[in-house]
Amino acid sequence: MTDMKKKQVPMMAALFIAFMVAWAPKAAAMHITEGILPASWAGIWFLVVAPFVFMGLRELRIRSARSIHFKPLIGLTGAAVFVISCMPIPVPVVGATAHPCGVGLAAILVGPTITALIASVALTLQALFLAHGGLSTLGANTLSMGVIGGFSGYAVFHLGKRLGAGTWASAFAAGLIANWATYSGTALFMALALARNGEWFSMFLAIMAAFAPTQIPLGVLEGFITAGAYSFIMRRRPEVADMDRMGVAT
Amino acid sequence: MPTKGMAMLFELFSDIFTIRQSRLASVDARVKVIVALCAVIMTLAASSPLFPTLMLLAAFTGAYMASVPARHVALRFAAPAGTAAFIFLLKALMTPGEVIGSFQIAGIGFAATDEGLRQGVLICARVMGAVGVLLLFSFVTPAHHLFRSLRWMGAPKGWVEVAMLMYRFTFDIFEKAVEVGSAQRTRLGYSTAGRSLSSAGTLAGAVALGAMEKAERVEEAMLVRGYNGEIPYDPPPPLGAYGVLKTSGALLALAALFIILETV
Repeated sequence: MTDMKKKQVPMMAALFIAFMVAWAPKAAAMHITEGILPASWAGIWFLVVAPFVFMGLRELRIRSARSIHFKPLIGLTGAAVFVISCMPIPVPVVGATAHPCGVGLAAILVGPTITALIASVALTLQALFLAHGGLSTLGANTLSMGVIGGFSGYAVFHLGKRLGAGTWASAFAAGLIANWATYSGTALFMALALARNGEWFSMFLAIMAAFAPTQIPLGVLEGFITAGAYSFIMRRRPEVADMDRMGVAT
Repeated sequence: MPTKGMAMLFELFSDIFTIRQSRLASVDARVKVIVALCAVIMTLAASSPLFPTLMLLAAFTGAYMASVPARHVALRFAAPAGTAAFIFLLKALMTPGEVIGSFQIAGIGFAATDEGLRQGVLICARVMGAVGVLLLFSFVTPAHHLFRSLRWMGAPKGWVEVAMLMYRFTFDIFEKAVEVGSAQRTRLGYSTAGRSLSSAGTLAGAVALGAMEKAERVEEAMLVRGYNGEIPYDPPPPLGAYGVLKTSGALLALAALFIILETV
């Protein structure tokens, strides 16, 4: 990376901040847009994510066979997560609005493999009906949001509880980490696809720098939303805590 | 704050325009799925911006013919257009090559290269062309036809069932979110940053809990109607010679355009 290129990174970040401030009310920056990934990378991410989606389908089939309530519940929980991920929330630092991923909350409620399945469906619907993401980028987007975000949120939540953190703190950490992990995955996939001559790491840093001004506050915001939502559900319907075990053989 | 945005998303997410009479809306959804997928693949494989630009123009024309309001088209294109602009900047200023122009901002030099501009324009065209194809498809295809076509094409049954349930219930939940968000706004729930955080958490919780309570009622209603864990699937009739002819004709036309524009 030349000196000039190094100097360009912060300026690109500044340009991106200005861009995000102007576009944030409508932007869906967490998804890689249709057409950005070359066919080779799009194919690779489809292959990587396929086993996780099939694991989700397998779990859905097994748990639906044991509990007839499971499939409608997953459909409705998925719809709720979809709507939560569309919620335009004010981001104080940039003075505009952005939206959470919702996968941290989904992973806590229904488990990470079902979350990967829900994410694949939600991203397909968003690509077709809202132009968020795309079909060729579905593999990469499901991997970053449904797998990286979902599994990291689930792991952090249970680690937090195991370490003795309260439910609110664990849910906050799950939302925060799921959001940041999703964006890190997205930035990595974009950098690998866009970089030439092996300069993927400098491209990754440039994209992370561009995402950071919105994603750092948005991750914190998602932490608050996840913790607030989970606490609200636990106060009103504490039995929901067992939902991620519904239909699991005992 | 959430109410206005949610109401707008509710409107955008709906497949209301697909019921309007248009020639594209009346085409078998399976034909549209196959042609749209091939058009997206060709757009992404294009080595010049001509074919993707043609797809974008075709999408605008199709949306106009289907009487989709210009505001809707603009709103749906806004996010991908923004991303395309960012990628264009990134490619133009960070790709090595012969410098064709430079400028300074706050003492920092920027240089656009010929290769960077070429790659930037190509990626922008691909993004807008592929998004155009998908949006035109969604403007002229009702959701239930899409799900039926996906099942016909061999998509996993469980996946399609979850997609159908999610799409159907998304509107109920949007409505719930707008209702709760409205109540919060009238009680000054978004008047300060602290209240906004608390209200957003409660809103998300109320939406998720509302979904679960709705699931219980829906499940009872489904059980009464004989639900046994699987949504009955009525397979569509065979595509038929006319459908095969239409699909082949559209694909041949696309392939011919692709080859011509790639060799110009």
